[in-house]
Amino acid sequence: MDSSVQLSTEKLYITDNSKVPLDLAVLAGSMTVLLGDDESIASDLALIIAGLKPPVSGRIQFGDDNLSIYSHSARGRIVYVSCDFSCPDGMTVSGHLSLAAAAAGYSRKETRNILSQLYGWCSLENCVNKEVNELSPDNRYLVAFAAACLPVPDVFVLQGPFSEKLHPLLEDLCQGGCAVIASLPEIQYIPQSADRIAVCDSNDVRKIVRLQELSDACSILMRLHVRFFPALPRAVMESLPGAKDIVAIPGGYEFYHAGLSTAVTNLVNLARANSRQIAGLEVRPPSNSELVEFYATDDEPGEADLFWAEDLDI
Amino acid sequence: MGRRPGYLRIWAGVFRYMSEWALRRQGFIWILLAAPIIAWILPGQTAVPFLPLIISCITYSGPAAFLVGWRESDARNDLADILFQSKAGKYSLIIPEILFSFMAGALPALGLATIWTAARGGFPWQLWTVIPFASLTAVSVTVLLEKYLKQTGYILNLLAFMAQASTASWVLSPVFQLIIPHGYVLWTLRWIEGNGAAFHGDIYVFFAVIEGIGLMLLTFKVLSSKFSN
Repeated sequence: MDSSVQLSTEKLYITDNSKVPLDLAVLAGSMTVLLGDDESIASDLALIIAGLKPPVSGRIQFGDDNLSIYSHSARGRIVYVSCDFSCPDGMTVSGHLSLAAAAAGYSRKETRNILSQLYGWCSLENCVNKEVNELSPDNRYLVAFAAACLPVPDVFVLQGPFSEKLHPLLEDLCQGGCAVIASLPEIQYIPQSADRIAVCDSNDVRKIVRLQELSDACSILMRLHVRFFPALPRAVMESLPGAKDIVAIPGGYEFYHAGLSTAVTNLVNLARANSRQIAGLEVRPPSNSELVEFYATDDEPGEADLFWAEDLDI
Repeated sequence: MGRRPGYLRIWAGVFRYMSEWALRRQGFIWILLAAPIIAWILPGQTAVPFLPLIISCITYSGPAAFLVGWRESDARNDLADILFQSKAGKYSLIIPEILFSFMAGALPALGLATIWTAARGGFPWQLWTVIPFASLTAVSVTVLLEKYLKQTGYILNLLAFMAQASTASWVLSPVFQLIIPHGYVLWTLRWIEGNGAAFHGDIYVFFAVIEGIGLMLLTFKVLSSKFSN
C-alpha cells in the first residue's frame, strides 16, 4: 500500500456542537467508512471532506503538499458521488459520460476508448443508450461512479448506501492507490475491504476502529431472533448457554449472545432436545446508536487518528 | 491529466439539454409570444409598426423563454452537479447558458432588424450595438428578477414590455426612456425613424452597454451558486 497521505484534517470541527476537533489522515489505497445515519454527522463530514460544504472551523489538506481542498490544483482530484444522483431528462448513459469525459479533458478519440473500457469495468454495457433517470437506483449510482472515475481522481468520496456490485470496483481503486471514503448509514453496507470505520454520532466522530474491531463489537451487540414450533417455554429458553437479556417476541425470543456459531449450535441442540423445530432465525446487527453507546465508554471521541502508528511506519 | 477540458463539447451539451428542457415546457411559446401580443393589443400602439415592436420584444422574450425557471430547475442542478465539481469548473455551465439565451434573443432580433432596415437603405451601427447589449441585459434581468422577486419579477418584466410599447405621454419622458432597459432597442428604432425618441441613438447605446455589462457581473455571481431554497 502506498503510504502517502491523501487527505488530512487539522483541528476540524464539523458542527457547532462538536466538542473535540477531528484529526484524521486518509492514506492512499485505503478505504474509510463514515458510519452513521441521517441524524449523524457522517454525510455532512463526507460533504466537508469533498469540499462541498464548509466546516465550522479547521482545515482539510490534500496530498503531501498540504494543498487546500478548495485550491484550483485540487479540482477534479477529489470527487463526490451522491446517492440521489440524477441527470437532465433525455440524457443517456453515453451522453452523460461523454459530457463528463469532455469536462475531464479527454479528446473525442480518447473518450471513445475510455468509455468502452469503463462500460465493461462497471458492467454498464446493456445501459449505454438508456436514459440515466430511467435506470434502477443501483445502475444510476454506477453511472455516477463511472463518471467520477473519468478525471482519475486521488480521492473518492461516496455517499451510500450503494450496491454490492460496487465493492470489487472500490477494491480495484484502492489497489490502484486511490483513497476511498464512503458515508454509509448501516453496518450491513460496509464493504469487506474497508480498512477503517469511523463511527459517527450527531456531533462528532465517536471512534475510529478497524473492520475486525467493529466485527467483534457487532458479535457482542447483535441480537438473535428465534421462533420455535411449537412454542418453547421461557424456562427452557433461559437454560440456553450464553444467552443474555432474553425478551419474548411473538412465537419466540430475542436475546444477545457473544458468539453466533455457538448460539446457533446451542439453539439447534435445544430445539432437538425439546422436540421443537426452529421456525425462524434472524440475526439483527446493532444499530448505530448502540454502537455509539458501546464506544462511548472507550477513548475520548475524535482523539484517535485514523491510522495506527505502524501504518505510518512511525 | 494536464489537458484542457473540451469546452466546445461541454457547451454543445449544455445548449442541447437547456433547449430540450425549455422546449419541453408548455409555457415556452407563451413566454416567447406574450410580450409582443400584449404590447400589440395595447391601446395607442398603432404609432409603433409591428416589425420594430417584434424586434424590440424578441431581444427580451427570446432569452426569457429559455431562462425563466431554468436556474431553479432540476435539469440545471443536475448539470451543475456534473460540471461544477469537474476540472472544467462552474463557468463551463454558466457561460454557455448565458450565451445560448443571449443568442436566442440577439440573433432573431438582428435578423428581423436586417429585414426591417433593408428597405431603408442602411443599418445604423447603433442598432447593431444596442440589440446584442439589450439581449445581454435581458438575460441578466430575467435571472436577477427571478432570483430576487420570484413571480413578481415575471410580472414586472411583462409590465415593462407593455410600458415600452405604449405611446402614453409619460412614456415619452426622457427619464422613463432611460430607466426601462427593455426600451432601448425600441427607442433606437424610433430614433432612426425620427419618432418620439427623447435622446440621440448614441445615448441609448451607451446606457445599453453600461447596463448590459454591469448587470452581467451580478448575473455571473447569481449563477455561480447552485440553486437552493
